[in-house]
Amino acid sequence: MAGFRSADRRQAEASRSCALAAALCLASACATRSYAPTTDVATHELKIRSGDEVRVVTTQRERLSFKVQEVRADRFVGVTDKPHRKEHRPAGQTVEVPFDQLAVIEVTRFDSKAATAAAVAALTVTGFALVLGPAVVVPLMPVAP
Amino acid sequence: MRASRASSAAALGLALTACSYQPSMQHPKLSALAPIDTTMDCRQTDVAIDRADTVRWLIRDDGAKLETDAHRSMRYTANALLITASLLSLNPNPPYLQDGGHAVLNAADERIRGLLQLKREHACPARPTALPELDDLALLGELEALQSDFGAGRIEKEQMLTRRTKLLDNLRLVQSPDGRSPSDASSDDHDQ
Repeated sequence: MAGFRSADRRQAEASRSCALAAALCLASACATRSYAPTTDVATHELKIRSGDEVRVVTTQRERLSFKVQEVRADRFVGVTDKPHRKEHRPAGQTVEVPFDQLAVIEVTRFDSKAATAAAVAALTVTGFALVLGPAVVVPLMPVAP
Repeated sequence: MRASRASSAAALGLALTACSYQPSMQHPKLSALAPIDTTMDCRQTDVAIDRADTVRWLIRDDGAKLETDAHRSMRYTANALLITASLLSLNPNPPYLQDGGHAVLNAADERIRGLLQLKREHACPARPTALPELDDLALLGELEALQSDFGAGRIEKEQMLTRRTKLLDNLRLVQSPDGRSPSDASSDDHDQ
């Protein structure tokens, strides 16, 4: 009876470790990056799309957070989000940010390549856990009687 | 005794500096001038200066300061002690002192200086700064004079960095949306 309980416990530990690893891997696919584009071309190369949530600082020293609605040839058009620290515009305002006034842009997006790599890593870890079972459990962990 | 008091004060100052730097968003590290930058015309150079100055303003507004070699050595020593103490107490996340924004601020300073030199080489018209009777090309001259004074040993590095920071804080005449001047920003609240 005790043996069964111990095996169950190890199995639960292994599952928990796998779930944690998978969550960490998937979480790493969502990345926030900050850029200081030096030209309009460089801004286009960031591939900001409609629906992206961005934070920017303009050359007029205004900080803004907004959801991009349209990417025009020379500017972003969007609607402000709930203001972050040191931002002053209330949520819900329509804003236009010309590229030549854009000094810093920070974008958080789901990176599909990183997500695929993370999913493969998570599947590999899970596969090993299922095949090896209790061997995944950290060997120094005390085993319950 | 005096030396130990001085180093305690310096360590406290260092810790306070590190704490005052709180990025409100990720700070990009600006690159030095690339060969492509030298092909910019005067208008493009001014736009590039405005952009680099804004990045610098953001970094300063979030509390960054330049650190001297002595501060850096002290920080490394403090980190070695902190990490050793953490390892001994089995703390998996050892605390450590960061550079207080020095690396990103220094990179922004260097880029701005490079762009101003480019502007002067291309004989572009000067623009006013926030300092009376000093346009941006004259400000570049002041920066270069500071550097040569430091190179010749006439001033200490800390003095040079302090004056350089003050000059560059006033490079542009911009009324910030929250009504504060750039040099006010780093000295007071890192609000909310």
